[in-house]
Amino acid sequence: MGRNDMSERLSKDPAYRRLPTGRRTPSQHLSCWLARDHLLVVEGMGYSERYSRFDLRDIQAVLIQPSGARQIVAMVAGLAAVPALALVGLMLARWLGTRDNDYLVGLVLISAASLAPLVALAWAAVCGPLGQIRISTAVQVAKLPGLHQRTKARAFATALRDAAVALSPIAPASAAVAAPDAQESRPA
Amino acid sequence: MQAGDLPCPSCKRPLPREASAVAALTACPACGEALEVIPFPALGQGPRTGLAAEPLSIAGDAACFQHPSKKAIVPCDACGRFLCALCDLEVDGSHLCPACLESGRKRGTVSQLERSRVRWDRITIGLNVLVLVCAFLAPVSAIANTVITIMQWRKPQSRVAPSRAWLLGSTLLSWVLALGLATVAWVEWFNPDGAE
Repeated sequence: MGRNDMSERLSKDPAYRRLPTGRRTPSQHLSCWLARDHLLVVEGMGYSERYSRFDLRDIQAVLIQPSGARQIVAMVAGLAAVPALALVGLMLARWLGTRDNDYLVGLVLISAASLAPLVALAWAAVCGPLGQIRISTAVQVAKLPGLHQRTKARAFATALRDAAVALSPIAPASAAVAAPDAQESRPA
Repeated sequence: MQAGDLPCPSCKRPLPREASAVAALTACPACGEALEVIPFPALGQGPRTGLAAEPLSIAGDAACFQHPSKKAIVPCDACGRFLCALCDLEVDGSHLCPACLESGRKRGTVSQLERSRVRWDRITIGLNVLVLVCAFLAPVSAIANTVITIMQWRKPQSRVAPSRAWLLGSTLLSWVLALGLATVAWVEWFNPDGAE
């Protein structure tokens, strides 16, 4: 390989595949990209991007710590939705009984107001439970702040694990079983 | 905690090996925090260590440039010097000596060593937004965006977004804004047709 070819290749970015990642805010967003041998975590901060790289051969585990925040949101939304729906039913019955336009206005207003907890409940149900994801290597445990949904976190971890398994000569199951004794027979 | 033990994120105490060996929801025995552990092939191993350089065994063997008593295993892809296993640094499939790697890091020619990049495309977009607030800045913004685009065109852009397309689009937009505002100013102030 010529020197120019080599420096050109080193200056180019390797091919990356995007992994499922979480939410983005206007000021900050996090995205994870998988290369052949490493994971690239890109933290966008307005006018710049910060990069962290994890060699797939160094990652020991992905830890997902469940969080009950969304269950609390769902519970509160559910509790708010029950009286709101009861009130909608009551207003509907009154309006059907009297055909009074005042009840119709009230019915429309209460129906609109009761949509908020229902939307929150549906959103919590669709998105699923939350969790905090961490990548553990032999020397650090790094938190991925943008990845909150446990289903997405699992998909992320599975994709990462598959890539690590493809790169590693040791099968994952045997690696896991051999873990207690692996330190003595570890390849350099 | 032994090397290779997984720490609990809450209490930092090591998780038992059997709990972390299979992908399942488990609880930390120390603090009771629920945790899902997805094990990877490297689980249980300590930090990876480099290979030790072999001493020269046969007279006439190529020796490392930095360590004349050690056997060379590969030449540096950048400078061509022979490297022993200790000096060989592999970056994205290329073998580099520490000096070339350091100079590549300083000059920014090794993309794998970059820690951050400036989003010039967003800066040009910001300049365009500034024009919407302060219209008389339109010519300045158009010229600045053109200079930024020319200077940054061949440099590495964002890894995430199609920055070149944004750069070009933003510069074109800034010229459209500048020319549009210049036209409006011409019509309003100089009134070439002598209307009214």
